[in-house]
Amino acid sequence: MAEAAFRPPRRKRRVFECYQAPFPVGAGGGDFRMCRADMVNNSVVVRSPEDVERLYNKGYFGKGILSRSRPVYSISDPSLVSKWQGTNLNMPIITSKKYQQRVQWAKSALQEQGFDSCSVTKILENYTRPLEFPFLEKENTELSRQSSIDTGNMVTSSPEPQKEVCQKASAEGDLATDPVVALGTEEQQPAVVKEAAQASCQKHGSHVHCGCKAKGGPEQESCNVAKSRERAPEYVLVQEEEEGSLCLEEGSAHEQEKFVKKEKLVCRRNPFRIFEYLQLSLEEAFFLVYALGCLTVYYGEEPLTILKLWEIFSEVKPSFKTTYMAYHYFRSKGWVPKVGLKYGTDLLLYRKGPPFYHASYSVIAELVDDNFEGSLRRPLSWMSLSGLNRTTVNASKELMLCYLIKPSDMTEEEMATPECLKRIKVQELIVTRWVSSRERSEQDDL
Amino acid sequence: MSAPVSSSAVLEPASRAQPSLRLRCCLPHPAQPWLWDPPQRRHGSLEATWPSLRRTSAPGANCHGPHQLFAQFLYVGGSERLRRNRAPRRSCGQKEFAPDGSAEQDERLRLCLEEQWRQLAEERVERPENLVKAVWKPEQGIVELESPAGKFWHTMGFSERGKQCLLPEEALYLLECGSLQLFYKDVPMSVQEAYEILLSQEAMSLLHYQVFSHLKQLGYIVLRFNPSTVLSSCERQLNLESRCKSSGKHHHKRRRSSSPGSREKKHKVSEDLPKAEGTCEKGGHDCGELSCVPLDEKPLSEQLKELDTGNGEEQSVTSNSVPLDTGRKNVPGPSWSLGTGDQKASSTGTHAPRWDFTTIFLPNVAPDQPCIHLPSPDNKLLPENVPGREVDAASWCRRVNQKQEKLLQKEREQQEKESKYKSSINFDREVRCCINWQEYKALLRWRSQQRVWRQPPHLWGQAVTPLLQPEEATSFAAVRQQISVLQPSHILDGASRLQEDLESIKIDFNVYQADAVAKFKKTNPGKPYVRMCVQSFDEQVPSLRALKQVTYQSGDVPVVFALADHGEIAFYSLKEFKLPVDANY
Repeated sequence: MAEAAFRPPRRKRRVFECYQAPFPVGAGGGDFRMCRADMVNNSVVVRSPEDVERLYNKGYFGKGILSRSRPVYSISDPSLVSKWQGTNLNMPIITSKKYQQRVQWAKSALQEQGFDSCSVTKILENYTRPLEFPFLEKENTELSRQSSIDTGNMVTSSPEPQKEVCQKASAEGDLATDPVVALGTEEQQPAVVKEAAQASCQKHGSHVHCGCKAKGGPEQESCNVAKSRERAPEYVLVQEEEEGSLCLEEGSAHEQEKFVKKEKLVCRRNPFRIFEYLQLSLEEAFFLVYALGCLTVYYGEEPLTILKLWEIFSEVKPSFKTTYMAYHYFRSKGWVPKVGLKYGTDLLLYRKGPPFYHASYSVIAELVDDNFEGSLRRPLSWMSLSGLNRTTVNASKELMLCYLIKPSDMTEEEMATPECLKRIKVQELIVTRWVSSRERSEQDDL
Repeated sequence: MSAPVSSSAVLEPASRAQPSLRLRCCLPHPAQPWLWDPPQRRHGSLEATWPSLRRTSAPGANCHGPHQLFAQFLYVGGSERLRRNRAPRRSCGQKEFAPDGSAEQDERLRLCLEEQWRQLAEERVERPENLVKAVWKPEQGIVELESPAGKFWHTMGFSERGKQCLLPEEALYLLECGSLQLFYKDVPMSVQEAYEILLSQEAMSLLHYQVFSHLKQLGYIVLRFNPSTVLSSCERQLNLESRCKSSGKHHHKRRRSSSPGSREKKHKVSEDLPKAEGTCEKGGHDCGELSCVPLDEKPLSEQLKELDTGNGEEQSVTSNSVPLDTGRKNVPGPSWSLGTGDQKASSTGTHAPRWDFTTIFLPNVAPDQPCIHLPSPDNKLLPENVPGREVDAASWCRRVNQKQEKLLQKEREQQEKESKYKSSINFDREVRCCINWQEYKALLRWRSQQRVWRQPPHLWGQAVTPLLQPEEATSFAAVRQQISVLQPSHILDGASRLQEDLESIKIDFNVYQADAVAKFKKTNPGKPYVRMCVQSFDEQVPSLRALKQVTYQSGDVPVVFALADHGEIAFYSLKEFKLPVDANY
């Protein structure tokens, strides 16, 4: 039987990044770091920006929940950023319309929490009022100091643990963190992430200071919040039409230069912040835990063991064992498998990673017994296979059937631990169409 | 392409043509509204002349609905074709995709159908002497020729008891091509009758015939697959095939001996027997030796490996006995020559290596043996076209400057700088405290344990721990190696034990490429280009089990699945594949 020939993967024409590493574990053992992920409503989410970056850049694990693949979501409007290039304020710039949209979202979130419309308006008015941004202008040191004093004042009025956050924030010379808001984030995050993960709803941390005040409680992840400020900044610059009355209030020298354009930037607090997280597929998460041992998945505050994860994931996704075996096999061959949903299959295989190469294979995984039979997850008729093959080939990929063969004496108990992988054999097959008119003679091949 | 119907065909008035030659256009049986697949294209002129008879899908009694629409695809043929001397165009204009209910469309379709009927009603005329007469023998399920066969005999048919015979599918194809006249009970058969009668057998269904005809029209040579050509697992293990060839060549000349290059064994059983005996005699001791290998699968490669390593050991033993002074300049090293061992005698063993490694000496090129003189190798050990010559590097050694390199100031500084980042383990106090290797290794072990316990207990303190030991992850290749736990499998692994209970799926045809026609010999067809399994489009994709079975039967010839769906045929192959490891980090 002739083997299918290996077709070299196609490089992407433009590559904007350089390759870092195939796995998020350092070769040489020195660069070993445990990442943290949370099990939220049957999905695995990584929140810490460092972990997100590490897992994505080294091995292309997961995807940003607000992005197509790489977690790059930014609130900032790129066209406005280039327009206001000279201002160098290091803050995201958004349009007034977008800002109003966020105010609306915050409003409805507050109303859901049971506030009457009067107090909602009041709260938001207070929260979104224009702020000066003196601390960003280096020459104006005095004001900068003042702002950090302000922060200090606020800290004293808040519960103990917040001090750390705020001190850190002010030490960085960054914007004063409103501790109350920070608190609120933590209180609300799990619920919000849940929503986001489940219904890909983009509503995230709705940080409305009033609602949070009541809920104030011990703060565990204040550091995380402080770090995640970069991803979902609290303060934004809003491009607004110039109005006479506002103009007087905004006394910044910087802005006055821009007034000729009848547009200005106003610094306001973002009433409705959205966080970008990294969502790992179950296979990816399990691989990071079981194969590399560089991730811990928490359920609430409890770290989950490998066996527990195997059990939970198999429950969440009945085909998990099969797809994980295939995932593990291809990962350990140095390829990067990603979800193949868009091509109607289980996995897509990339060389190095999606930014560098087009996916070469679209894989269907099936678990069969020692007789090479078994109830298939996806019994294919020739009709459906030819359709699948056509869509795959049209995207310059090859359709691969990956059979995972388990020995006849493998029991259910044995399958209940990932150690069963060691007794699984893998058979790969490539589906190709044989074109009768093209194969007539040897010369045609050349 | 020349005129499809040879210009020599005499157009006789219909009244004078023999009634039997009026090949009536026949409608399919109403109960089986087949969509016939009209032979559309033809490459080359391999077989009989192109049919002047064109069949069409039947606008039968139920000619409403989609059937009408298909009528657009019909071909005109017959006399019109003769007159124009080229392929006629479709006369019905644009294709209709769906009924729109308009009277206009109905009218168009009606006209189209009418024209078709007209064309079908035309008489196709052939010269009687151009047709080969043949008789259908239902008892044997074959067609016997009564007049000498035409050009098609090159690739079709077989002789039995001195008679030229055709298989049903071949006869039907030739009948459709208009080069055969088929009789049954002394009455000529119509194409429709032939379809019904010849394809009623188990071996050849309509589906199979459609695939056969499709491939034939493209010029392929299509033969039935004969399961008896499948090698038994024992034969495979002994690698009898190659031995059969050579033994057959030397010992007894067969009437129809297969050439050494052929892997097909198209012999009758009676011929097979003596050959098998011959090989058993030949490889007698090998049979005994290998019979202890359990029949249930050990991949051939593995066996070979075993043999190889066996030889390797032998070899290494002998190479150890090579005198140690090999490298010294004035002592001539051992020659690369073959020993005096009788190579021919040793080659009679089935798995005897081509070379007797005990008598081949290799020069000692160990690093402590400055090897500067290599005698010329024995020509017998070299591939053709590769000349071997003696090498004496002594003169080069004199000319090469072997003094220690003198570094520039800058380079020395650079080296010192780099060495700062490297530390010798001798500076490690704990290491220096170790007085022997044992203690040093214990220290390393202890240190690694320290690191493991720094790992969180929910991962490392459990029954199942992560596969990767962080301290062993010295490189990404090492990481990959540690996490590679799934075993690859081969398509033929376990295939031999599946041969006992074959499933419904089987190989149907051996297919040879069209350009092989000139060299093709029916008696010695050689290795097919592919083998075909015919299936219906509605069927399930074969299980891995079925695939293993057909792959095993096919040997090293690829298997292609031909899928027929009402005359449309698609081909797919499921090929074994091993995704290469991407080690290019």
